Amino acid sequence: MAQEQVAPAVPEALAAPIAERRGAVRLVAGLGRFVRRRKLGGVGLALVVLILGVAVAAPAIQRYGDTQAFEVPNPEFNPTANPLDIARNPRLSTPVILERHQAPSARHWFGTDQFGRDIYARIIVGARLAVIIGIGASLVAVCVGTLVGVVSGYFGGWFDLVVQRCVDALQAFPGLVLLLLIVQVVPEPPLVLTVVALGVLGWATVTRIIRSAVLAIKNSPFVEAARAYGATDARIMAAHVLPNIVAPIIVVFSIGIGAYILAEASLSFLGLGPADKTTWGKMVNAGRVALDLHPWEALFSGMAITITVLGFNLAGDAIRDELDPRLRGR
Amino acid sequence: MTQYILRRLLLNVVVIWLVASLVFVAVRALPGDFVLTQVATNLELADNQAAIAEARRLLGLDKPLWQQYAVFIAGLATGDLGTSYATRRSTWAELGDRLPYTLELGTMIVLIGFSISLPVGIISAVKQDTWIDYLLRGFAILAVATPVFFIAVILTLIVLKYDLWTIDIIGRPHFWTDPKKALTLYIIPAISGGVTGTAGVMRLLRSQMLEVLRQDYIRTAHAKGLRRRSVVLRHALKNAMIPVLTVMGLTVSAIVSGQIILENMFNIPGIGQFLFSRLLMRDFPPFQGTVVLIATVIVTVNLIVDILYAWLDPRIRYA
Amino acid sequence: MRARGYRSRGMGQGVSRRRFVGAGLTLTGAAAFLAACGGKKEEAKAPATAPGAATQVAAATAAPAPEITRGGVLRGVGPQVYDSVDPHRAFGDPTSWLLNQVQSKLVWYKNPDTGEIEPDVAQSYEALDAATYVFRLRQGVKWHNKPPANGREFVADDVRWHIERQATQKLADGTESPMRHSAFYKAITKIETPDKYTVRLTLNEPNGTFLDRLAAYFSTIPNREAMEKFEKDHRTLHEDAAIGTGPYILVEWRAGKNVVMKRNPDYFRKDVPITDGQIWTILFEDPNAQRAAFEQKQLDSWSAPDPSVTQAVVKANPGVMYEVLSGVANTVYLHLNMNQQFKDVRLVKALNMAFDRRQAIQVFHLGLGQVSGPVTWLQEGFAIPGADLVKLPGYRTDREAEKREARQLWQAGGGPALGEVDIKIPRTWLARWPDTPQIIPRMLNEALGVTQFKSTPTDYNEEIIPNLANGKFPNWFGWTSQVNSPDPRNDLYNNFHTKGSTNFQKVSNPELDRLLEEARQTVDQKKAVQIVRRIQEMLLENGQYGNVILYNYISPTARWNYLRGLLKEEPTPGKSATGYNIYAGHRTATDLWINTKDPTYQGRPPATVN
Repeated sequence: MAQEQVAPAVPEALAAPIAERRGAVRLVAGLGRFVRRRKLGGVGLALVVLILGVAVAAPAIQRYGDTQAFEVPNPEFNPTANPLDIARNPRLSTPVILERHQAPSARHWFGTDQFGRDIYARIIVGARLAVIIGIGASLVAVCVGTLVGVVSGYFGGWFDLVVQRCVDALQAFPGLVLLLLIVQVVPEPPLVLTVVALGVLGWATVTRIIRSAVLAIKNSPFVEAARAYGATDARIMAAHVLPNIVAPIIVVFSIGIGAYILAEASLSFLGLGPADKTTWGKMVNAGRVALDLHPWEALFSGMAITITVLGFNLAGDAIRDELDPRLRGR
Repeated sequence: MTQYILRRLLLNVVVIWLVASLVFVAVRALPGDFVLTQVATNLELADNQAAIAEARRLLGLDKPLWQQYAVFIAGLATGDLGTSYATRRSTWAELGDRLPYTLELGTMIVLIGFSISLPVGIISAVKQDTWIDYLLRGFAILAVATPVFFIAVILTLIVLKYDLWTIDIIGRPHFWTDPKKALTLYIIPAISGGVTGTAGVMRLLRSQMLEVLRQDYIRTAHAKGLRRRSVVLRHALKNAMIPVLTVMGLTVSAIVSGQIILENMFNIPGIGQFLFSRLLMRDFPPFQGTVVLIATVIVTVNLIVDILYAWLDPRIRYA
Repeated sequence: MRARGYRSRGMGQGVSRRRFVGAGLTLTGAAAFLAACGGKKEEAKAPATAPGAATQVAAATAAPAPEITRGGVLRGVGPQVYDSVDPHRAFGDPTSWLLNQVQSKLVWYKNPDTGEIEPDVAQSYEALDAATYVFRLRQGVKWHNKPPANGREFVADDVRWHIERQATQKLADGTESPMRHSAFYKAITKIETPDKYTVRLTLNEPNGTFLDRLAAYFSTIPNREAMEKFEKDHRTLHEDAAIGTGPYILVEWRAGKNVVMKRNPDYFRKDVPITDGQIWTILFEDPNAQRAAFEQKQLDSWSAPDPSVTQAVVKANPGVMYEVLSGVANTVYLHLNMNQQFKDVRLVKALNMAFDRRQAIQVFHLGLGQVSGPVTWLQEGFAIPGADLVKLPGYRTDREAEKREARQLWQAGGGPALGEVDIKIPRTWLARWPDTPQIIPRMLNEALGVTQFKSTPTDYNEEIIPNLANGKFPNWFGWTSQVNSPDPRNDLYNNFHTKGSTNFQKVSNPELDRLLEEARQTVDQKKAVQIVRRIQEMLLENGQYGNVILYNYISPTARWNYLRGLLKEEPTPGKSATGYNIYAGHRTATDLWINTKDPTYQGRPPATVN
């Protein structure tokens, strides 16, 4: 169910003002301390780095093409057989057959799938897509959600009212259903469109969180001071409000990545994933019927999904724990 | 308070109308329509334009869009959720058939899910940073990261391979007609959905509990000599539950909207699968009607949760 | 529409794969089968010499087969949507598939693959000439004993009503309603019923395929009272609407519920049906759900979308399951638009040779399948024999020679000047074989030594069907309409005659027209085969006018050992059984049975129809 709500709920507690200035600078400086103190977060960060590394280095490490079908000599090949027999039995006349459902070996580290394609190569290529989809969609959701949330929360009034009702409407729509609708409008959407569509799905939740964060600091002393100095609304939003809600933004972003990867997997499960791309969700869907007969495809892709989502979630959790002083250990 | 509720109700109507319009537009933006999905099995019929046009006329698909929209909204106002093109039954009748299944599955998911995640969340908070905490959090985090259908497939395979019990896939049993058969069917999706879906709640509860347990009044209670368990359960839990209630409210809404994936995998004709199949079939009326119904339930549940919120936390007051 | 491309026709029916898809299509089914009399392949008999005696059901005579046990209830997956209870007006085929179990036809197929026809509700028939047919009905045939028919006798007037209703397309209250086969029935200019058991039909022109059409799956005869009672509400499913004279009576037929039927105790054939009933289960298309149901014997047969999985499951369960191979009646074609890019027939012929049919069968279908000439190998009576086909361009086994010739033709026809050539693939095909957009262009580019070919996805509903009539359809590769009859003459006429209803390539060749007309009007089977042979050669000379027929593949189905019958060849250790290729749902009643004495029958969940 958490996978059908695309962006997860972040506790309202996080929307409170942050007393000390903790910006990105401080976070980077405290990375070492962070890893030592939050071991799970360190694990998460390591996994994230691993997945990102794989995604970036994909062409170099994938060994083979992701749609390259491997062939082996056909043991039944007999071109000198009676032409009539050949006519009756196509297997006699084809010199090669596809290397289907092979177990992992030195040649195919993760084995091959139904069409003789190397599973390892497909997983590596899938990593690239997973990262693009997860980060891209989360980015879209966060950007749109933050923009709308800041403006809506800061200005209030009828604009805020209208926007909030739209947000309610979008959240009242069963998440996966909305997704199903979006991906079917354009058959064969380019990846960008899919990413944007996914992100658009989740902006409503982001807006809610950002808006309540903005509401909390809207009337803070430093904002009032800036107003007294004659700063424009735009400047106040950009220079004063935004830096102080960095924490929930980062958390929502990082936890959203995993959610979007799972959303894509769900779509592929239902047969509606991107038709021409190699995604982990599609691989799990293709292999799941024969998980006991030849498990390689579903197993490795399922593990890839889990590890990736795990990494981003752990890292995001740790960041949240780090940024919220009230949650530190006793 | 009453004023607040009334205003919220009015706004809810606006939201529902927005959802209805959105779904009306969205399904018509999709390629194809119901008649084409039925006709397009024979090349000869593709030429039979008269038959296609006739079928469209019978279903009202030839009317201009604004007219279809007006009929739809007017129907909603009177509680008419439309009539299916495929089965000619009213959406209410179809939902009536399917709601029991969704409720059965949903209830089992909630029961199993929360009966695992709530105690785990509390224990994990109370034993923060011990190996128990790490283990439980690790389990929860793993659960959230795994696709729900993956768990379901693995569990099913284990059951079938070791012949643990017979899963009644085709019988579509109900708990009140055949509880044993129903259990064989629902247990796997319930565990899969429960574990993955409520792990988020578990972690939220943990973090909320942590925050609350540090409060002064808890320390005071300890100092007064109250037993640890009663402190935890009576004082901490009640305050920690507030945001958790919100999330639980959302979780229940998600259940109502149907476990599309799990229902599909286990041949459970619930509402989620209904939505999915109607969408694929371009059977607009039941799809539109069901989405609007679900939206109505969700906004109502949200309203109830907000009211509970106010009741639980006296600090929250609504203008 | 993106769902998968399967329809199930219920228990024991042909694995039918529709290229278009509505949601909720299911996947299983053993092919239609018939235990051949003595295993001989018989040529389709000429109607003029049809035997007059009432026929007996051909019992399974294969020596190693055990003795038939009567009774039991078959259980399979049924179609999920039926659009009407009225076979005259139903758009989609599922209604007809179902009604083959409960209603009779004048004649039916004794052997659906060879096209041998025998009388069904008629006792005998006679073709006085190619335009005049006389049917003598059995006496004492009763409609099902359900209101409103209440078991009254089936008489000649029922046939008259059945024909006139479809010819005039008029309902009982006088309103008009489109009926799918009205064109066929309009050709009957005179219906005479001299007594209540005799029907004499006169056609407007000689038609040698007339009996074949009457035996086809869509020609079931409904009950007049029931149809009139459900006339207004024909889209709402109800078991009382499907009254017939057939071997089963519908117990339940409602939307979203299992279809249940039970044996007709008053059926006019003795000892038929063998089983006590059938249950057509509603089961979602999810492969895990279907496989789990099959492995727990909640389904008697099953096939996975990936044939290697079906085979792996059978292999993993030795001694309790067996595999049935049967042809899939949806022929695979390469359609090239000869009114747009492919104006020069040499280009079409080049592609005909460049396309490696056998490699495609190997890549897509595990090597299970056969190449098809202009008449597919499923239509055994009329197809060019394999020994001759293998010598023809496009079908030769010397691929190097084929490619050489293909390149010459491609250059001569101005192929390179075409620039980019897009062979589109429908999404329903892509859902099963996602790699096709890489495989096809690579095959064609490599064979012709060019880089022009590419493949993009398309949608039947969006791009292909709407553009068939105006001739602006794209080039595409994939399934096409199903082969439902062992006789190709009507389809050939419709596809290639100037006045053909599905002549999308706008073919107009007077010589071909003449041959097509002559073929259709010939009653003598041997002569018809000769003419059709000449037609096929002509088609090949002209690149099949852009409709390059490729192959029909074979699909394996897994069956539990206790499900027997309806097989062309019984399974032997180490060898799969062979099923029938062309749909013959009516043979479920006569040939499909459950061996209750088989050890695998233990543990099968009970099924009742009462």
